[in-house]
Amino acid sequence: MSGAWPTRRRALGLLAGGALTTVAGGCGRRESEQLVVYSAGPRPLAEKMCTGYAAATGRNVELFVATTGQIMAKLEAERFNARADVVILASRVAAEALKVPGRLRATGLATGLERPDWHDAEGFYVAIGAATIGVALHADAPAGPGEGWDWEDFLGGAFPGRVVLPSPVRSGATSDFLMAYLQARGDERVWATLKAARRAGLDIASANAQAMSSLLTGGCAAVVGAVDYVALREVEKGEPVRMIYPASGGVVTTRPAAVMATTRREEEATKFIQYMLGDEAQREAAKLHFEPVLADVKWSAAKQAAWSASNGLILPLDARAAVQTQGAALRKFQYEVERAVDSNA
Amino acid sequence: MKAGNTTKGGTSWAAWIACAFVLLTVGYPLAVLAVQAVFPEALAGSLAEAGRGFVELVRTPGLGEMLGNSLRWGAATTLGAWLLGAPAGWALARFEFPGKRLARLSLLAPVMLPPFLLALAYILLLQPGGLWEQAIGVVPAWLQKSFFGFWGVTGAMVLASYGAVALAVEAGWRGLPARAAEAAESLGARHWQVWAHILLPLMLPALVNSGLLVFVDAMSNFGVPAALGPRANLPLLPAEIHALVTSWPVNLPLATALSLLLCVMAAALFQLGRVVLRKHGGGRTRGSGPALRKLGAGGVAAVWCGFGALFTVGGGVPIGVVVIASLVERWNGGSPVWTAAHYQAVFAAGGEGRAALATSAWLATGAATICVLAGAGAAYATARNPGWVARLADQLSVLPRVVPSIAVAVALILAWNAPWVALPIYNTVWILLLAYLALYQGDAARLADTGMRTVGVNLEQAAEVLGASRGRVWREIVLPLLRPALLAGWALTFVACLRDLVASVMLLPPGTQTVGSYIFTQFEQGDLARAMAMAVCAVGLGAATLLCLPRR
Repeated sequence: MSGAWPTRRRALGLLAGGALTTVAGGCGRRESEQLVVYSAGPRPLAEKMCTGYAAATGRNVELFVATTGQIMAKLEAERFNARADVVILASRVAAEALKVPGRLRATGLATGLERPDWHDAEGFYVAIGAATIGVALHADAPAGPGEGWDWEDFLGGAFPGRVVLPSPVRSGATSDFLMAYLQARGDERVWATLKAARRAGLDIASANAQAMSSLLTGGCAAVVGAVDYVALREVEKGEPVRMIYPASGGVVTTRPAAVMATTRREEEATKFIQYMLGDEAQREAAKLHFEPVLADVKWSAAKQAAWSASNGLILPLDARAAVQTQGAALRKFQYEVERAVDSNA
Repeated sequence: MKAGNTTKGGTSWAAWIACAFVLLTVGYPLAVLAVQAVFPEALAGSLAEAGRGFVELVRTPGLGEMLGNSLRWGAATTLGAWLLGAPAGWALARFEFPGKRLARLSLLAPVMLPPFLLALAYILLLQPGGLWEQAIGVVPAWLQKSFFGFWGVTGAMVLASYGAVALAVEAGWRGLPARAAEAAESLGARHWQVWAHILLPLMLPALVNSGLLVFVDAMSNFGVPAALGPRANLPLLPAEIHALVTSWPVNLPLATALSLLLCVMAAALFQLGRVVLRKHGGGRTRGSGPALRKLGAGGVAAVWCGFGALFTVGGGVPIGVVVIASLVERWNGGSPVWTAAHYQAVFAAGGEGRAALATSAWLATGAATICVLAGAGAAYATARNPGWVARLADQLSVLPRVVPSIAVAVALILAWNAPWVALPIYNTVWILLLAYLALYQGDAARLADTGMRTVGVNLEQAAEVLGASRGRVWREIVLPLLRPALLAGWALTFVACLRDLVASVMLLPPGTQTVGSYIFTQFEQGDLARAMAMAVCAVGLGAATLLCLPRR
């Protein structure tokens, strides 16, 4: 036991160090009585909204940023002692899923807003901007695509090079695309197209960001179901990428913002959403390549260029219908499309 | 056997504290999860819709297939981790060779990356048009095909977990009695007989305990299969649970019911492990440890080749890919433009990156320290006073590992945000500490348990006979003997906390970032390079901390 003393000292030192760092690190972080906002990414936009609001009103905002799925999970887990006052989601279907069981408070903010089709007619949520889902391509991809190519052309195997679709099971935006696509073309045709595409070598990526990194590194030549603001950011950086909207139309996915039914700060929550609909906040959204709600706010140059090259059509998404059928559709996708290829085949 | 191993005077205070700790950090949230599974509206004070989750569970299509896949995958991963980890641990424990600290550190390299980044690194490397193709040439078709399939997913998981097995085996070997093997040999036993009848049974606790953890990890992991993923064509239960929790409308009752099913399976596995150990394992000995053998030049070369190969495939290559990706300004379609700006961004004064590193560092330090102490107490209690409380605590401590971490996060929110909780822990940074304690105490507990199995009771009894106090026995006998196991547990827990992702994101209090949440945020908004830069910093921080650990 001759070595016991140094051992013991060291152990005690380790222990004291651990305890000290633990206590020191946790000090001075306390709950506040501020407005609590849960927002889907992109984080810079959510942060801009909060700092802008704080600068305009002198009131700080507590912000939590995660994916729409994580926010939905957190809201569900906090149901019995709710924290959030305002939610900003990346999918209108998710907002409908909150509205149906009475989790949102009607604010009537939508009345008189531009783009009435983006907002909830009953006033439970308003869009603070929108992104459009299309196809992100390598800049040196053949000239054919872009001139009249449609979703089926990219999925059908005619496109030279590897095509990737972010999994709608894990990406909210792609699931919006899938629902709109199903509504526009009918179940039978869509499933046949997707299954054929999968057999022809369509790859499924686990997230939008992963598909995009695959495109940037040259791992694939096209990302079908890409959200434009993500691709346009790369275009702006100078990466050889271009964004196109297929012939029958891109899918517009709005960013619904809503006041939670359980809020104790309804007035401030409403003010916050009003701020996000204002000129200053809308210009910030446009800078990040979102389509602003206000018609007189200029689009970003990259978005404008991509949009002018398209024929301007839109595949509409009926979110209220989608919330009923989405679960089954995602399951079907997972079992019949994603896993349709035998790994040993 | 029981009587011989039990000390007088009932359960010690340390054991009670350890049990209370496990019950509070793990038992309480899991209990809330179980109640929620049976009565979805219980927290609102209503018993409505009782059992809905279980009704839906029975109706879940493909449930049997998912369970079967999870078990198959867990078994394959465990086998692989044993095959790689046991020889590595044996070499570390038996031989003296230069660079041993580095070799030990290299075991933890793959563990330092979040599994999905590890998978992503391999994807960037092996995908068509990936780094391999650009640097070396065509990737062999068989490699590509098998990688994006069952074996790729299994291989990635094995690489992420063999280090834990190796550390446990090393700790186990050090507690082995050299004398037993020597005695057998001098009595004419053959080499294989010594292995089969003495060494293997004595090593069984280390193998079984670490193998169980690997199994449970593989069974609950879905980051790797999700990333390598859809191509691997594996319907897995954890992926199903994750989808239920994060796709709208959220179905918590079914998700919690499925999580309970995983818990029951894990508990059964651990019970099985316990039975195996009772029948075939152990034999308590005084942990003298076999003498270290000095290796000749050839031996050193062989050991270095082995560790070098393991490190290259498991840590070197993926970390290399991560480093490359962190230095890219623009990929430029295959001819990248390089920059160090992402590291500047991570370290920018007053920036989020720096704060995230600091927060993760102190959280991981605190969590690892507490886990190790609690694990030692619990293991001691199980070994000396094998009552039901100790057994319960021992089993509980690993259950959070088998539940997908998104479900653990939900359980923690339900438990610590419940209307009756008076302590304002939720939404402060302390909830992260609690989450790490809940998620990662399994490693420390298992390792301590392994260590305790080789610590004989006779030293303690001798000390007590001579009038030493309980505290003194602990400080001067139990802890020093457990030291190798506890240090290994500390290192594993520290690294696991540092790379935690899901709990960090879900439970993040306002105004705080951790390494995991920072990586996640950057990745989500498409800033892959900055995410990778932070991952490199985290690996560096982990490696530096482990190098500073006291030598054993």
